[in-house]
Amino acid sequence: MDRRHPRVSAGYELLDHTADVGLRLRARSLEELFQVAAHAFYELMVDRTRVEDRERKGVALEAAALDELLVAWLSELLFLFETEAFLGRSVHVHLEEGKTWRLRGQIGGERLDFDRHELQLLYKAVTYHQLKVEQDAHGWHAQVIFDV
Amino acid sequence: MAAKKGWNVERLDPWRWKIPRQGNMKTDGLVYATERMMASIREEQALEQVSNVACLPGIVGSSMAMPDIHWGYGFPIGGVAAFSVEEGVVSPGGVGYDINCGVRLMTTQLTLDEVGGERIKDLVCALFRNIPSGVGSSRKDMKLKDAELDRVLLQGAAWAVSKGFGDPSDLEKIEEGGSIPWADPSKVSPRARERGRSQLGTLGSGNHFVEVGVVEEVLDPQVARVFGLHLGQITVFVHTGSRGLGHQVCDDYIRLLLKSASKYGISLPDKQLCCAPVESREGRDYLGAMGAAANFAFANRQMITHWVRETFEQFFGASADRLGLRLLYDVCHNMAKIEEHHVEGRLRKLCVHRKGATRAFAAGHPQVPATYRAVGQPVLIPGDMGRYSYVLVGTDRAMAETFGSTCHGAGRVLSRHQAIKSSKGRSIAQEMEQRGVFVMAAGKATLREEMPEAYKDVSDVVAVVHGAGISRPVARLRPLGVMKG
Repeated sequence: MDRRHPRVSAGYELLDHTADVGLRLRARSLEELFQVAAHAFYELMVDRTRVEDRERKGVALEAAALDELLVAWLSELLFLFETEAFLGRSVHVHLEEGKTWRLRGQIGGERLDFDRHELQLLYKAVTYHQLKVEQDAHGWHAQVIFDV
Repeated sequence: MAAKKGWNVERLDPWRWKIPRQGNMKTDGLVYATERMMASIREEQALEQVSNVACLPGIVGSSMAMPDIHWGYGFPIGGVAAFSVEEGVVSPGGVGYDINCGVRLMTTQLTLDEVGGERIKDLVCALFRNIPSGVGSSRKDMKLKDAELDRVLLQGAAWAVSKGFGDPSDLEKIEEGGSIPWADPSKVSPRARERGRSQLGTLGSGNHFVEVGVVEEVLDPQVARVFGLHLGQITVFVHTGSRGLGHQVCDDYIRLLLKSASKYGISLPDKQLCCAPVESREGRDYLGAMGAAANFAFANRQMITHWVRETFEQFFGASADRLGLRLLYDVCHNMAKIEEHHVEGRLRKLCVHRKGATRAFAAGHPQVPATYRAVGQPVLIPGDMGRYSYVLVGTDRAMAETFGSTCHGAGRVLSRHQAIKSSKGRSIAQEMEQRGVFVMAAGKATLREEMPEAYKDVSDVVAVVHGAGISRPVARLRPLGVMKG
């Protein structure tokens, strides 16, 4: 599968939802899509440029479908924040397709420090509502809605 | 998209709209709203969500939505749906992530003169110091060991009372006595425990709050007397839920039930609606875990109530008893419960989902506390932080029509993002102070997100449930001081 498409630039935009917050993501490759999702996740919470790359977290996940893998990935970032107050800055993702989808991720970041990080948003959960991960001629696109 | 599809909606009377059964729907949709509300509801996808719920197996009666309906994920917020225990399903998305998010109201013997003016500011600041709140709030002094956490998950508010948080007499004033009997802590995952462990006794962020208010108008003097409410009386609302533990329980079981839906041959219009038969292993496991998360929330509100009492005792230099700090009632917003209801003349056991809706049992129901049984269950409806809140009472009509359910609040009209955008350059705290409400928030964006115009006028919502006869107003309260998470 050709996962690279040079025509689309990676990024995200906010999807307005009355009760919650959603993201529309785009990227040239699937790995980049998951990376952009993590960047967006952190950028809605804090000014990511003020998060320092001090410690690393490794993540290994598996899901039956790509969209479910995206929810599992973002949920893992939320879990790391809620249990260890961990905020990410740099993100590396490796994906493998077999019978299921597997993800190995490396996140560099640090613990929340109220003196330097001003929290803008806290997520309750990553939902499956209107969840999408799709590929077209221009690259990969995804949509995900958070309960906040 | 609902608007584009142009949902066929029939107006039944000024308060009721029917979505006739169509496509894969197994029953009609029934929406409580005025004509003006319906115009904005049509623009969202909420009607589609009401119809989607009507497609789930074993639904009994209509797929309903209360007037504070808005677009949720899976079920709409404000959604009420009952399923047969034998043939129907239970759906974590029909309960929501914040399991047993709910409100409780305390009454006092204090009057406006005692907390008005500058004093309210000091009182809110004191509450702020004593109650952990806000983004990422956790208690470093209390990280529960597994065995203790199990007791919380099993006993709910009773656990808190056994630890000295409040009085045993509080328990009878809580929905389900503050403890879900079918809770099964063994069904709560280690991840959920990890998220909840240090969050017991914290308010949380966003729309969670502690609000000091005053009874501004008594609308039903007879019922108000039974509830212990009178004009000019100071009251305290507490709004919070099961925190990260409940969120994770919901997440865990959605993941599990995504698999079981296909196993049981249930086709899903939306993944968020995944479900399992109530009587299946997966269904029972979810209900056990949900009950445990609900108990966590009951214990949480009970602990916060205790700190409210302590704060008042310190502030007024008198005991909580002398100040008359009494729990009026505690209601749940996001729950699925096994209840018995009369359906077409037959008593049936149902799994009633209320997502952003309140139980509103009528007079005489055995689950209404003995003190209130002659008049009905108190229903607590907080509005936005600037206007007013209501106390209502359950009615026979609600028992007959909505499985004893009604609205739960004002309902948002602006998304958080829109609210932040339209409040740019304004000081919401100052605007609130001009209205006579002192507010304090842990999160910087919270006040903007929660500003009054982000919500419907709760009076309009209450007018609909009153007009439709599914609950009756008893008193209106005005906020004086608000502590936001």
